[in-house]
Amino acid sequence: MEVLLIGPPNVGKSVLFNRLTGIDVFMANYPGTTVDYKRGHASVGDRRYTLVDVPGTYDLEASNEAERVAIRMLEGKPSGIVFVLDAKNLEASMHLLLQVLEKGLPTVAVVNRSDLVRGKVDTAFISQELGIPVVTSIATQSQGLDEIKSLVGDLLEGKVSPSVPRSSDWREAERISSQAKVPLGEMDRIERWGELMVRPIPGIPIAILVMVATFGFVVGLGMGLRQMVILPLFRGHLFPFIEGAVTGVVSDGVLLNILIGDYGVLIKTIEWPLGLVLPYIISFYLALSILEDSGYLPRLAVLIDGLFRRIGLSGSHIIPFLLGYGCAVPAIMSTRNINDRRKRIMVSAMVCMSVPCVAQSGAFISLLAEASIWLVPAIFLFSLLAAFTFGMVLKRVMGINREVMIQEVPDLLLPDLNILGKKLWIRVRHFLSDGVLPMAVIIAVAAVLYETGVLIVIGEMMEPLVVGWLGLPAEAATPLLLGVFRRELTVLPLLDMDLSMLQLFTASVVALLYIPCIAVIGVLAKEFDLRTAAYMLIVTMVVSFAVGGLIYQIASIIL
Amino acid sequence: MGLRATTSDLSDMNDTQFNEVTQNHGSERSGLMVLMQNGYKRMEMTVSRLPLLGNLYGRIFYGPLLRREAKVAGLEEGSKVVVVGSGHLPLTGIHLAKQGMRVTCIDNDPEATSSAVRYAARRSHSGELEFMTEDGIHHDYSEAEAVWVAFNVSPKEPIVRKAVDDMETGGKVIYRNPRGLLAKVYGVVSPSEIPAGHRRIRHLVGKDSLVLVNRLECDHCLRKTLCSLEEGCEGVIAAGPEDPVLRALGIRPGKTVRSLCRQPLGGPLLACVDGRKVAIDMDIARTITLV
Repeated sequence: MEVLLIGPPNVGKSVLFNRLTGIDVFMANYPGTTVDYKRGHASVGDRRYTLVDVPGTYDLEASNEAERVAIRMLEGKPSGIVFVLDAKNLEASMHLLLQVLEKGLPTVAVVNRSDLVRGKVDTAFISQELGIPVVTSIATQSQGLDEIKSLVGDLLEGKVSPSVPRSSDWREAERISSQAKVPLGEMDRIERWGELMVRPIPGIPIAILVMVATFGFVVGLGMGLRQMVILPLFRGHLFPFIEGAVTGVVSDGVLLNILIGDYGVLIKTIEWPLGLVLPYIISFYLALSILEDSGYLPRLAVLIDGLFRRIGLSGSHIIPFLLGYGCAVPAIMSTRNINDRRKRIMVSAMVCMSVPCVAQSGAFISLLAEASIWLVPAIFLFSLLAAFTFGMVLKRVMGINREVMIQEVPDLLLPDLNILGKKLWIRVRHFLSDGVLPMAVIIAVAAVLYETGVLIVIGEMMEPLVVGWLGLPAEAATPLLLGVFRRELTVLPLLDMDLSMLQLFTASVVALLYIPCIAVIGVLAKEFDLRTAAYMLIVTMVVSFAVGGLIYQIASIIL
Repeated sequence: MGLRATTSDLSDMNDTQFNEVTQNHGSERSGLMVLMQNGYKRMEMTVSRLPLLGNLYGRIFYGPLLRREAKVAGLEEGSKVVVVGSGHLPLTGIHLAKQGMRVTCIDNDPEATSSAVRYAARRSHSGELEFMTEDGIHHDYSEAEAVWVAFNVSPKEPIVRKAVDDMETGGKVIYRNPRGLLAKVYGVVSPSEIPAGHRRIRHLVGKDSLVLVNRLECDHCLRKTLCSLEEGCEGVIAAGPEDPVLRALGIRPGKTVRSLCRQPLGGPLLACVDGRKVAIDMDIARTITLV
């Protein structure tokens, strides 16, 4: 038994889906969060069924990927449909509902977000007009869930007859919704703020403030967690315990070094992922989740559109970039709702090239803040500059046409703490399960290679490049080798190398522009093709060494 | 290629007379301005004998500028236009004729007309090009679809006003205003003082082009569109692009739309329909017409 959850974008389908199935589907307050559809099992009474969260669409005209997915699902003969209407934008959802009714499937409707209108939507009228059951709900507050569940029960028991196809033109949608609709009230304070934030003045100063504050929040909270909580715990209790235990069992030699030496497996596999990276994963994703759920991001997209036009993109492409500061994998996935393939490749390439992932950012902060706090903003500004320059070049090379922006700006909402916590937990859990283990394995391999002298041999081979051209110590070849596997490993080994300011900056630039990690290469190959992935490898490799080397060479002439 | 010179007595006017002619309406002109205009004229004269230089200037700088002006004015092949003050080097006329328009160039200096005829004879174009010696203030513009008033024409404002008065509804007058220091010497003709709608095109250096539209009240656009709607004002949509997303977001004929603001650097326009805020690219906003 399969039930589809259908509705326009940003109407709360994913929240409803989570409430009904208990699965953690990802949601945010910007249109088009669900690019892929999600399935989950749920039950009403003792009947089990599969609920499918269909990507939100404005229309069923197959004009983009999300719409094609929705149409394909509707044609797959589901047992029933739960259609989610937007209480605030009743007319547009009504039009889509009429289109869905044309399919002649058993359908029930839910008017969601009914807390955002003052008064009650006339569900009885809609129900009478369309001949389908209609209820209201507030998914974020779990209101109306029982009614929805009982409707789903009716669907499963075959109590809802197939819908009667009828005209689906705009006039009909306007007629029904205008009679069922309650008038919108006065703007409240948060709405007025929402509107101010998207006016150039004071919107742009606010945007700069928000970005700086976000950066400060991520760095500050991350550092705080690391210094106050995690490091004291590790250095005070965990590491002495491990070292004591190991020295008790193993005598001096290679094995001891592998376990607790320079690249000691037992120390580094805990310290790097959990001590250096995890705090920033927590602080970054907390900040990003707040931005997502508040509905601020579409405003940022609108404000920045003029700038993005210069590189042939539209402001809404800022979402993959922001996600990229977390991890390039979801960032590349999120480019799926860009229709132009070349533009997808362009955005993905820019993210791979010049946006550091949160793990690498955490590593940058740990590395650079100790030498000079100014190096931290310097490297992030450099990353923005590099992204823009690279974008200009790509626009020329790939012959990108300008993207036209049509974007809904949803209302500003106060993020729901419960949902916020859930989202943060999903992302942290993802890092713990998919990030920590590969990192630990690679550190272990590196430890073995290092202690057996293999890394040193390879380092000597790369000496002309690393020492001559980049001006780094010979052992800096190690992070470049490890960086193939994880991006932050291009930075972390530098921590113990005692580098000068110039060396730190050069090494950071190379690490920033250096090849994306192996997971990203895999995603590139999967989303595009092997050739694109290979191009990415070559381009990032060449550019990183070229730019890093130039910086060192020029600086050493001047200084 | 239709080249015709309807000038009379080309040769029997000398420089002193030419100065008298240009000074007919020049009571309020400054000495510096006269000096500059005469210098400009000399330069044009020289360049008109060096076709390569004129060609280069036209191709790199002037051609694109004119194309922009013609595009904003909505002129097409076959449009009938008048160029006032075409001078010794009638680049405006030649370029417009190259775009396939039917062009009449007038200048009050017969000498300029004769060298213009000479220069134009060596240029090929697909439209019609005609030269007359006549003062812009006396010309009858009623049959023209658009009138270009050259930068050095003086006094400019009466001619601009006459052209606007003569032409039918929707007729366009294009002239250029100097910016910065130049504006101090030349003075500007403020478009808002002339009873016509206008649109400003900002060029990289020196000048702004102004396209005036006869008897239209819109300030920014030549048609009444979402783009021309003033910030904070409401309008009813007459027609728009057949885009399903736009329609779903409420941009449909018959809907009342409010323009909230525009974003910098050519970013989108923010509109509000039924309490829903939508950012719409300027290129699209221009195609959404209002009742």
